[in-house]
Amino acid sequence: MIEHLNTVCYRFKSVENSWTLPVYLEHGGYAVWKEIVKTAPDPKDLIEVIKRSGLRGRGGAGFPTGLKWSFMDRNAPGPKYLICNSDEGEPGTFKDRQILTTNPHQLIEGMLIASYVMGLDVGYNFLRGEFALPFQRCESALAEARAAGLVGASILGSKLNIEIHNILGAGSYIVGEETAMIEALEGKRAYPRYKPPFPAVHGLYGQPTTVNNTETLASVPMILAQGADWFSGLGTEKSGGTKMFSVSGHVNNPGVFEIPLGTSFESLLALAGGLQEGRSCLVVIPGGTSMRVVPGAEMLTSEMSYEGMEAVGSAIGSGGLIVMDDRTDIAQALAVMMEFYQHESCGQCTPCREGSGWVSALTARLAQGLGKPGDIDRLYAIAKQIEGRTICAFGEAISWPVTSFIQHFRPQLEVGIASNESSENCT
Amino acid sequence: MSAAVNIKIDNQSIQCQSGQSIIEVADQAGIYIPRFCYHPKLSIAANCRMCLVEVQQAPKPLPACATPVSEGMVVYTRSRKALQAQQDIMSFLLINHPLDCPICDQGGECDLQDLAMAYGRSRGEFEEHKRAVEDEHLGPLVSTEMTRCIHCTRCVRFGEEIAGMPELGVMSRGGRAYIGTYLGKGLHSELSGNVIDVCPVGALTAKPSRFKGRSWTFKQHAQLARHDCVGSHVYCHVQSHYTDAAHTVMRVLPRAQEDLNEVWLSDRDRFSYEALQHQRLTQPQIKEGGQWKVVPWNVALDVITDRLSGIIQTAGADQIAGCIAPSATVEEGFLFQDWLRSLGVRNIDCRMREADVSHDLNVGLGPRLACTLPEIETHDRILLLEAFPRRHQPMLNHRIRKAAQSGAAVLSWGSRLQDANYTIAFNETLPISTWAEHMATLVKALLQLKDDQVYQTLSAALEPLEVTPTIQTLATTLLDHQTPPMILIGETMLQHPDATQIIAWAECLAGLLSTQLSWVTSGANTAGLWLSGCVPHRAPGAVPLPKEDIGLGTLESFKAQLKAYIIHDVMPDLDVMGSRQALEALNQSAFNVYVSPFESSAARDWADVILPCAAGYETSGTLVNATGTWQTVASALAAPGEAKPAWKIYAALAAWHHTETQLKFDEVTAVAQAVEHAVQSAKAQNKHDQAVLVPEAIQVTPPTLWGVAYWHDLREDTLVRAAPALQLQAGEDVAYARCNTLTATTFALNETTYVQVKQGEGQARFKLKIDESIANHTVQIPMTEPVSASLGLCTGPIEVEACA
Repeated sequence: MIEHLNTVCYRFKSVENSWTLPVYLEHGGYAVWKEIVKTAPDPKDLIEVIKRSGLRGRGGAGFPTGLKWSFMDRNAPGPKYLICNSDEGEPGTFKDRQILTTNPHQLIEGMLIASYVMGLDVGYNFLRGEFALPFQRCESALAEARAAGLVGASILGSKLNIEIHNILGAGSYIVGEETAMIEALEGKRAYPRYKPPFPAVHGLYGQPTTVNNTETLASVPMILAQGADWFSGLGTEKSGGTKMFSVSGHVNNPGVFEIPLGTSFESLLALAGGLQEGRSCLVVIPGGTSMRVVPGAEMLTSEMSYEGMEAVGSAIGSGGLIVMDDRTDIAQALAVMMEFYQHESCGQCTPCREGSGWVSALTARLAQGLGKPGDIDRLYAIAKQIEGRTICAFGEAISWPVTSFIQHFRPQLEVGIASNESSENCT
Repeated sequence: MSAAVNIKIDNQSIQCQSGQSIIEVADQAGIYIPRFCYHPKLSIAANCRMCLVEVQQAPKPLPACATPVSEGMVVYTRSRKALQAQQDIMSFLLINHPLDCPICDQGGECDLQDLAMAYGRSRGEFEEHKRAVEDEHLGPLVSTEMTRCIHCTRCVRFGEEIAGMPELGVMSRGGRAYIGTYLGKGLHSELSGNVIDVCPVGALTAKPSRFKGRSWTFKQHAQLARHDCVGSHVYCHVQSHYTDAAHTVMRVLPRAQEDLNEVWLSDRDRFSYEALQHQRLTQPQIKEGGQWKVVPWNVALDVITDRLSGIIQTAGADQIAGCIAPSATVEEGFLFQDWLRSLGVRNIDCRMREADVSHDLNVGLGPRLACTLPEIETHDRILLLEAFPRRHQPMLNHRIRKAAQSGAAVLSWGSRLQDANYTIAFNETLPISTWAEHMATLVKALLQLKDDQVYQTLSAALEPLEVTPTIQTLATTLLDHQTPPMILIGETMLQHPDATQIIAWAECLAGLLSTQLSWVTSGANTAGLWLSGCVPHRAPGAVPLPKEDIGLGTLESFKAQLKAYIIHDVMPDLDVMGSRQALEALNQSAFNVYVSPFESSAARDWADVILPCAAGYETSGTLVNATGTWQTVASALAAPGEAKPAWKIYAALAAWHHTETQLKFDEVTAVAQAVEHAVQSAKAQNKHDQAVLVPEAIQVTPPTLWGVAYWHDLREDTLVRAAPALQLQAGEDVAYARCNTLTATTFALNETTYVQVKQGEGQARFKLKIDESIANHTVQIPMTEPVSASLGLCTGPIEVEACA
């Protein structure tokens, strides 16, 4: 049994009507926010708490949150913005949806605190286009919070003005990239921007903007309520706190599990009901399909933490964990992923636009057993040609799965190469 | 503030400014970095990735176009790492691009082709199906072959950032992304042809010249655009190989000139070269017994000399008038008037559309701009009075747009709303008949806001006028800055029958705002022709003539029904205000000469001698633009058949008449020098000083129904009318009379029936379009429709009724 299961963002998993204000208040909700509004603490102290808690961005890149917040210039002229990235599009990832559905108030409270800390005026919660129920829940929660005077102009009678809006996206993967999301909010195509300048300097409408993941922001009220030490103590030395994993694939009980970082993969697999009878774990994608894959045997001796995943050459990413057992057709699995990426490439920059289609065509051929000699080397070379040459990290998202699959499963992929000699001999 | 920064590119130490990108600095230092999406006049997209370079200490190659320089930066553009990245990008660009340069119109001048030679690998590895993209019909000017597109989005950014009309966009995404209009209605920007230039590949090419020749067989000539008073610089490409098209203009491209057209060109200037191949007159002809007969040049010149001498002997030289198109060169204008004035003819004019020229002596050197084009951008308020530069002077409008984008308030007041491609701060209409009254009221509003000793004396004359809130707003805006605003007056104002009064009040307005009036004129060389003596009241050098030597203006000379008319490159049925008066005069006169590059069926009726002359780029000559810049170019090609440059024709006619064997000028360059010298000496003797127009008291009269004569920008002159692709681009829209709903309701007009316009004794029937941009009590009349030839002064009172 794992201690501290579902204690931070997913703590209302089994609480009835947890998305409503009365239930949230009953569980101590908005206490931190009310205290902040009342006592107006020094934002620097709050950033210090977040830094000490070890909280890192839960969207994929794992950038230390406190550090990111400290980049924002409170005194920059003009409006400043917070964007909550709820465009959860990474294949295999479905944990933010649970926060948005079961715990929208904690997210709102997190956004309010973040806005206070960084001196931001408006927060946008950008939900992915397919999130109908989460959007509904967020909208009703926001209306409740607004009616209670927690959001909007002169919050709780103070001089604080923080506006929050929920925005439903139009359905694309790339809008989850922070600068693409900024473009989309400005009413343009979701094209990632070239960085620098970074959003903290030149973001939404050219103004300083901070973009945080849903889980990151929703963790903030609990950290401030329970203390930095409590949170960091939940995890390991280098990976503070808890992380939600959405486990899917060949497991008996797929679902979302919020576990302390540093929990062993084996325990997480057990939580998800384990593998089917008589099966072995062939390969695991630990953090969404954009991360490098890890062979099952290596995973089984690993712990779920930033450093643990780094040790096996991958990353915790978004926490979208996909387990594949020994029945998996590796070429088919790769082809499915590459089909997704070629479909979702925004088409803005050359390597990704042209490379994603090429990679997809090659992997599809391998999956059908129609590969040609040299295809795997070519595939590897193309992936390397894309990597590091694109505007956004999408290039790596195509490249990493390809190169890691080839690295670990080259023999399985070679099965897909049709032997031209033999087919000629037949005729 | 930008600070000096020291960087190293390819081991070369360079000092540059912070804020510059690596590619800018490299370009200045002559180090070439390959690129497709980067364009110095467009925003940075960094999407092609071709300019990836190695920057020391950066983990990944960085795009040179989007990476700002920083102190101590060390850049390698051709290191192993940089070249590897560039070659990888090239291989991606080529996988879906057709590798069939020999059948592509861009072949030989294609960025992708050139860079593929340098960075492409010799063997392709792509064995999948290539992408194919459906072509879109973008209209008669731009041809598409979208399979060749490399998605650099230069055309998209051009539309958004320069044309101010985002007509092209990226549809779909990933490998399926393509460029299109979505609505499928084609391109309609007046600058649309520039997408051809910015496109680095053969996806967008020029439709009129497509597949007609290869760039390496063209000879390039520096020339000038002939349609507006900007005088954009162009390159004229002439086929030099011995093909069927030998010695014809194959296409026209912009020639970079930062002070005029930057690197752009309007569609009219780009595509009007086609006219050189169409409707041309190639042989001198005389009319004998109602039949046209081709004759040698000497016979034609004999006929003209004899007939004009006869008229001078029997009726006097005052029975002769000369009308010259405002697009004629300084040399043509000078020799035209020199020949006629040597005959004693005083009635010489280059202004075809002005109804009231009694202000003549008050516009010194002629109508022109008070500042240069780049200076337009520095104004913080620009007032457009009856000026619609977007279609008529597109490159001038480009400057106004840039001013507006950097925060200038553009204020427009005219007989129709401004169809602007930028945010416009004040956009109001007024009935065209009330211009003088409105101009005076604006002066009154300013006088109420600003104490001014000089103009306070006008108060009595302004007594009956009432300042409306609209005018009050305008006056307040004009006064709310310390810097003087720019006041631009359009050519339509000079066509107004009350022009003198309007100008007088406009001068007061300018005086009150401590600024000078700027005028735009029709034609490419109105300014130059004023200086060449092609106005009835000024000799070459714009020297005022003594009263007894002042002749009649164009309209007056037609009204006077003289005995002979010499018409140069003007079609009186289409180009003249008062075409009815013109045609009546030409039909009753004894002898008319039509000198033109272009055939005209109307001229076949009224002319007695037709002389074919060179057109546009076929002429060497000088044009003076609205900023007063003299620009001389050499002809790019010979005129077809026996057509001669017009300056030679008039030089010959003068010699013929005076039976001299020596031409006064046999070198075209000497003519412009003579004129320029005359201008300088007149200036030295203060002969350009102008008298001050004194405005008269205004009678307030309720607005009445007036027409406003409208020359569509793609029908405006003989050259553009003969250019087929531009005529297709003009479409059917040009044929409509237009008025707003109020006017239509008042006169029971609708779009399903026709509108009968009566002007004086003439009448004409037009299709009607209800257009809310037109002012009340105003009907816009398309002067370039053949039926409108029967109408007189269309800017003036008219009557309308619905008819079947």
